[in-house]
Amino acid sequence: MTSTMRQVIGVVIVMVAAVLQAAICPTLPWLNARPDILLSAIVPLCLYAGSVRGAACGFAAGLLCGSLSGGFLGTTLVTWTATGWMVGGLGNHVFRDNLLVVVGVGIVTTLALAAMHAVSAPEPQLGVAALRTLVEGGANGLLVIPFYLFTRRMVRHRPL
Amino acid sequence: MLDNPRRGRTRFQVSVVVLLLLGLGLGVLNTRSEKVGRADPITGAIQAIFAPAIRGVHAVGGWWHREVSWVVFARSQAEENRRLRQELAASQGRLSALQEAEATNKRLRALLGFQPVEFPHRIPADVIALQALPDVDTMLIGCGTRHGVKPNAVVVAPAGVVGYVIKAGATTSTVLLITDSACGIGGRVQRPNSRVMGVCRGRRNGTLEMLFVNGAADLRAGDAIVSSGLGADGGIFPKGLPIGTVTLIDTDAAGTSRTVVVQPAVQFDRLEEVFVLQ
Repeated sequence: MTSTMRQVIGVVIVMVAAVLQAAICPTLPWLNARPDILLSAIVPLCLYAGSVRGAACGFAAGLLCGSLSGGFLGTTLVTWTATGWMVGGLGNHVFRDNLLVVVGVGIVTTLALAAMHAVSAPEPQLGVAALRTLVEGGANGLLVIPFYLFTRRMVRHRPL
Repeated sequence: MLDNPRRGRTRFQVSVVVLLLLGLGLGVLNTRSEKVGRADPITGAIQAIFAPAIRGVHAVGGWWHREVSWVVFARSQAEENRRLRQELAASQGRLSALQEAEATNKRLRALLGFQPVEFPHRIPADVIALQALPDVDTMLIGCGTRHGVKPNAVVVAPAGVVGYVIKAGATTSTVLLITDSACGIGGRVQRPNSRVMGVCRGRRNGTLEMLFVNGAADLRAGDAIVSSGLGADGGIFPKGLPIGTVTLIDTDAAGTSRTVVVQPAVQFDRLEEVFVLQ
């Protein structure tokens, strides 16, 4: 599979994840926590892609997410691009094609994204929001596993 | 990987600058469009492109619910069916009484010289995406300016208020739900001998909080809250729309203020169709 083909599949994964997130919008029974399919999909992609392409991947995901949710597009774009860049950077340094690392990065990314959102739009109830974010982090950590296995199979241990 | 580290660094810097400028440009474009309640061209195009795919996933989910899941959940659905029949029978009795009360109300208003109450035109819309972004309580609906939807139009479901339109695209619109902390709606206790007023603001956990309620106000758990028509967001919500039910009242030690938690009348995770009031 050529590099271009892998990138095309990467774009398709982001688009499908955005559609699923918008259509299914999963909600857990605890604290109204909502796992993020799109975030779970881009974490393994960014880990394989490196910081520059990771930032581009985050930008694309932010554009879809911001457009489909109707939130503040500028803030969403900046936070998601920074997230993609950060995860891509982690891919360059700590990622050794290890499932546990991917799960950990999924959890940490959820917390980082929530923290960045909290800076731009403070939560009225910080304690509840923190607990909800922890639940969402755990759920995203699990959700990232199938996306990681698929991405790994697609890229076959080569950079995206 | 890249052979020349300097070229790699330059490429990295250029890419980051391009992405940031692009993000800044799109953000500014979006904010300018948002001020007039319109979707910007990029956002509108993305919504229009993705709406059919999201509708497709909804259709598959609907098919599964109609054709397959009833086999698995037959027992619980039979129980639900029985309960709904009982509720329908009770509602028919209440409807008859309410029709009589409505006729009396109209007659008395006319006698007293009040303006007749006009019910706004309703534009039906299907729900395309619900709370796509975990950090904002919004909803994307499948009708826009082409169907007559305008910014700040109130969106309702049969059970009660859903929210209001913050951005109207050509064929889709973004609705801010009442459960979002940025949405405030003037509320009033429906009970005739109470009529306590406050502002219901979302708590972003699926419930609302009724603010500015006096510590001595006559308020009870189970009280129905309806829109007061005064509204925190420019009074865009018409009077009398069901908002929710009081589930918790917590008075502070001094007895001067209360935390009133309201469970919304609408079950947002089950919404499929809504109406936009014009």
